[in-house]
Amino acid sequence: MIEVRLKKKFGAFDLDVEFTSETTGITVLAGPSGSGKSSIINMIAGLVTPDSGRVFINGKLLFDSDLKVNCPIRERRCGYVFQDGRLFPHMTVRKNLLYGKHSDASQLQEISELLGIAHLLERMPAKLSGGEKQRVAIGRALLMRPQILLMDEPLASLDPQRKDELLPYIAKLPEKFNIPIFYVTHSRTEILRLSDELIRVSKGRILSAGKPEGEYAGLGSVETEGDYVSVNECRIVDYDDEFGVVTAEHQGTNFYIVAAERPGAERIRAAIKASDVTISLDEPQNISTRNIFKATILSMEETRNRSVLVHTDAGAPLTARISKASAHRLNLAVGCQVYLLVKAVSMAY
Amino acid sequence: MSLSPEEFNAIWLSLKVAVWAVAVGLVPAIAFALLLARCQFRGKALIDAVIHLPLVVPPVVTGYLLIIVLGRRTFLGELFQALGLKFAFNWKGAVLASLVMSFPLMVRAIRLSIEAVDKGLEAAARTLGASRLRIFLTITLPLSVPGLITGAVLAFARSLGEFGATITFVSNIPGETQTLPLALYTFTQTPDGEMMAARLCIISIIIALVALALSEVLAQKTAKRING
Repeated sequence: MIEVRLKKKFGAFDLDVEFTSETTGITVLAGPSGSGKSSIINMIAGLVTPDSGRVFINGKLLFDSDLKVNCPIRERRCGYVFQDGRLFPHMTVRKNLLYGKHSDASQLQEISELLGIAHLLERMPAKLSGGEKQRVAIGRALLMRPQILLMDEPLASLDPQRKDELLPYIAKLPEKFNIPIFYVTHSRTEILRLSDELIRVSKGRILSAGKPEGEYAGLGSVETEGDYVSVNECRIVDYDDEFGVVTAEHQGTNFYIVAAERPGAERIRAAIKASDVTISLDEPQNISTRNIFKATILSMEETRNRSVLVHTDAGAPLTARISKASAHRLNLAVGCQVYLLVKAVSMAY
Repeated sequence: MSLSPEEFNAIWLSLKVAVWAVAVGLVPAIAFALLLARCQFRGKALIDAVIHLPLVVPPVVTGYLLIIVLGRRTFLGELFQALGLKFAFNWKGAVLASLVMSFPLMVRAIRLSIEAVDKGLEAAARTLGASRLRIFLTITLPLSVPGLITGAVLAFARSLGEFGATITFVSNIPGETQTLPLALYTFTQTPDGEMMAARLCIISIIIALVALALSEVLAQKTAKRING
């Protein structure tokens, strides 16, 4: 059980957030830069002191302004993976890994093998690639046997290829170590791939918190550089070997996803960009598009660049982005029955 | 080229004084450097100024102040004598003069080095459960080694060259307080002393060059250790 309530003024910016979390999985804190998401985990770790609030993690009170409790950083047992790794440059990988006061040397072998750094133990950090450095940083934080793992955009400084290489390691951490992980990012790929829970932060406030699907699917317009994405948790029901098509089901609605091979997991997330959705008033016939859904318009919101986000119920919640002109031409309104044509569904698992 | 007993005494005394000055000064210099680099408190500017004073006032003034504060009949002087430390007309006084003169150089070099240590690394160590002392000993200090070497070499060189404060504070007694520069000065004041003065001059240069070369080797070794 994690309970966080924080208030802090930074000059003109003020942060005021409150949330609880039960999961031992990955809770992603997402938001644009400057939204205060890193400050939240810094305050959990004790690196920044809130003006007031309370931090309670797994039976341990770390901070409470009313009770005048402020646990020193070194006693908080918060494993922290920094964006820039922060490996100690004058120590070998092994010494870095075992630096923590409560480091468990008997786990060194297992954890370094799991992270694929077992062959690097005697190297100096300067001789490691960016991805290797971050894996060592993760290992160092895990070896201290933390109560919670805090990760501040650990992939942000890596090139795309290294990011892909590191994601699977991070994705399997909750299962292997059974600790809660708070993960700060603004990358959509990382949100989709990693989040068991999603907390969206903007301007020092929490916009939404919960499972990253359905109504939480709006992974922001700013966070994702203008793309609005609908995300639905699906079960794989079929894989067509010949054509390479995955059939994924969400509460009776089927999504067809093109994939080179059968996904490794039973459950996946189907992600649909709002801009990949076309709206039709009539049922389309003889058309190449495979993903066609009958839907009811729930709400419409106009965005800055003269486009309209149309939120619908298509069995699963789906959102389309069309131009304001098209919305006007089709006479769209809340309650209308429409057909959604989805050009592409992407998958994350 | 063989050394005369006088020359040998002067060289030996100089090395002894310089090594002692660095050895005694190093730990306090680290402490003050850390204080100035990492702490904010009232009176910080004053401490900074007092440490740097010997760098900016004429050395003779420093020597004279030492007599006033630590002379035989002063309170502090008697206190140290009770502890078995006699400074006046004694090589230990020469060490003290060198120490005071070279201290600001050591503090400056070490302070710069400590300030260059990434505070993020210290924060990372803290999240890993390290105490302030452990962070200092395992992160800050090892990463400041280049500054420690520079500071020690500067202080050593400054001590070898110390003249004004030493001659004022402990006078010019052969075999006791007559260091290399003092001996050199004495020869220049003696008829037919030019040859001896020139020899001491060359010896001074050789010692300085050896110290510099040693520090360079040490600095490279530390850099190599960090950069792999």
